[in-house]
Amino acid sequence: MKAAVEMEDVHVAFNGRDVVRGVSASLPDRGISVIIGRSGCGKTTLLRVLNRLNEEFPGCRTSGRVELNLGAGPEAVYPAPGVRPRPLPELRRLVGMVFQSPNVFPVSVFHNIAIPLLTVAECPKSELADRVRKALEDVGLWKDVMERLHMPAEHLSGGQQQRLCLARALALEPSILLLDEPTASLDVHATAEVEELLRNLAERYPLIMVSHSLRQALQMGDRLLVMENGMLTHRLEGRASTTERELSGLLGVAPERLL
Amino acid sequence: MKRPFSLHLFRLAAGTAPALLLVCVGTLIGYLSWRGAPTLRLSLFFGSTPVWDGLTGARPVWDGIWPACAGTLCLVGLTLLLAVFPGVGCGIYLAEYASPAWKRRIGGAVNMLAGMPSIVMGLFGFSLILLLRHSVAPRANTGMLLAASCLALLVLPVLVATTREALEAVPDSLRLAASALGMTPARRLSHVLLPISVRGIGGGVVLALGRAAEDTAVIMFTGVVANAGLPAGLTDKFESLSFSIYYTAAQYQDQAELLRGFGTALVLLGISVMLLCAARFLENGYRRRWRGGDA
Ligand SMILES: Nc1ncnc2c1ncn2[C@@H]1O[C@H](COP(=O)(O)OP(=O)(O)O)[C@@H](O)[C@H]1O
Ligand SMILES: [Mg+2]
Repeated sequence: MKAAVEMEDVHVAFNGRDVVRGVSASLPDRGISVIIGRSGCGKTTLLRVLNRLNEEFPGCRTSGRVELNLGAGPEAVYPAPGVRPRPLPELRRLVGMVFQSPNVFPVSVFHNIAIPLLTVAECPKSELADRVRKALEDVGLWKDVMERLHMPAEHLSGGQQQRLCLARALALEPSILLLDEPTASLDVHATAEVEELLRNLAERYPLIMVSHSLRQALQMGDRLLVMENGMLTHRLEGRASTTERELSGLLGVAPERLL
Repeated sequence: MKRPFSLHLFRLAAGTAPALLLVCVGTLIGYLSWRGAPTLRLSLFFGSTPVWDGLTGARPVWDGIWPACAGTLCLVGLTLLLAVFPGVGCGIYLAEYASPAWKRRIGGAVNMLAGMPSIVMGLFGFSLILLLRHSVAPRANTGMLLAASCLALLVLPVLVATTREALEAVPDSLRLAASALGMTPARRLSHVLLPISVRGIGGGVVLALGRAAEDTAVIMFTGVVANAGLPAGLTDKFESLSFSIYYTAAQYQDQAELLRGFGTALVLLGISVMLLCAARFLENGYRRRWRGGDA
């Protein structure tokens, strides 16, 4: 199996304070890789290493080697002597990301997907409607919104908004999907729907997900990466080989939740 | 649970304030209408000149306010033309691009400009002309362009502040989301941030509009006169409603003339409301394009 992500000795510091310290990992391009760890241990920051989103914050320094397979074999993501990585916008288009709380743009459902399509993917106007529809179908939202494409996206429910965020990323035809606690702000029902959707998407994309719940991590993860204090401390392969109790033992927290 | 007395007092005050506001605005408009409305006839606008001839400027209008209406509209339009681009641009720069040090410096300069009394701005324009006369352009004179430039300087801080506030009110999570999708900073600004903050920016334009329409102190020094006919060119003298009201109030000879002054004030109010509605209409159209439905 080829690797989708290859990291070697990755460090990230904000204003001189180390947040990620020496992470090395290789993640295959199949299945769901789940990162778990206590709040504040650097999971989000590690995820943002992959699309270089940490660079949006002032005082951030990243070092180490990161290679992603974005469809043309492994390629370096960060500049190094003799290496010219892809421009940022292109990298971020190919590495889709969904955040903890749904952050739809306060425009219509249609425009939420159309704006990135037009500005990032340079989608011709004639294909726009089709591609918006396809993205909404991919996340199972088309039937719910096909008659209300032009209503403000904030009127959707939380779960629907999160799926719209997924659709927005999928419309750009990414090679890898990053998910930062995608169900943390959703109720039980919406969580189940989004988890189901992610399982389906995992057949087409490598998924790298930070999870806030041990149950979710165990049910969905094809491999678990346990993070502590900016470092990867454990790696567990395969599903169902671990119990929540063992996992919480590794983390040193109560089994129900991590947050 | 018994509420403390201070809370009752606070509630009372909070309830009284809007009531007071409504009463004040109501009284103002009511009084203006009572005195001014009876004079709202075509003769107020065109005097004894035939309407069509007056409207097109074929024959001069002597005792009507039509030239002043046209002057005000031109002045406001020209002021916005001069002020919107630099004002909104400066607001965008401050909100999106400036480093903290430049934010402080430019923000301070804008605040200083905002605190400048309009009469000072007028004097500034006037001395500028004097300076020009004694140096490179001996025939320079006050006129529409100078007045609009000084007015633009007067309304600039409003535009800068509202644009900056509107942009800074956009949550960081949306900025991050746009960047994560691969938008360049320029695209993020033009396709996400500006459409979201257009309501606030539009509000600033409306405020600027109102200030430009009502100001008399600036234009008094920079080219307004009581009788100039329809605005003829950028360097020509012009009439304006605000000045015409001021002039009438100071120099009226009989009761009828004073009442015409009230009528003029009512017309100025009407024009301001009209411009405000036009601005809102444009803005809503823009918003509907992005938001859809019930925006
Ligand atoms: N933009 C930032 N600027 C400064 N410090 C940050 C920034 N983002 C995260 N941190 C710090 O990095 C640490 C890890 O944060 P994060 O990766 O969000 O943790 P997690 O996602 O595991 O809860 C925290 O202590 C946080 O304060
Ligand atoms: Mg986090």
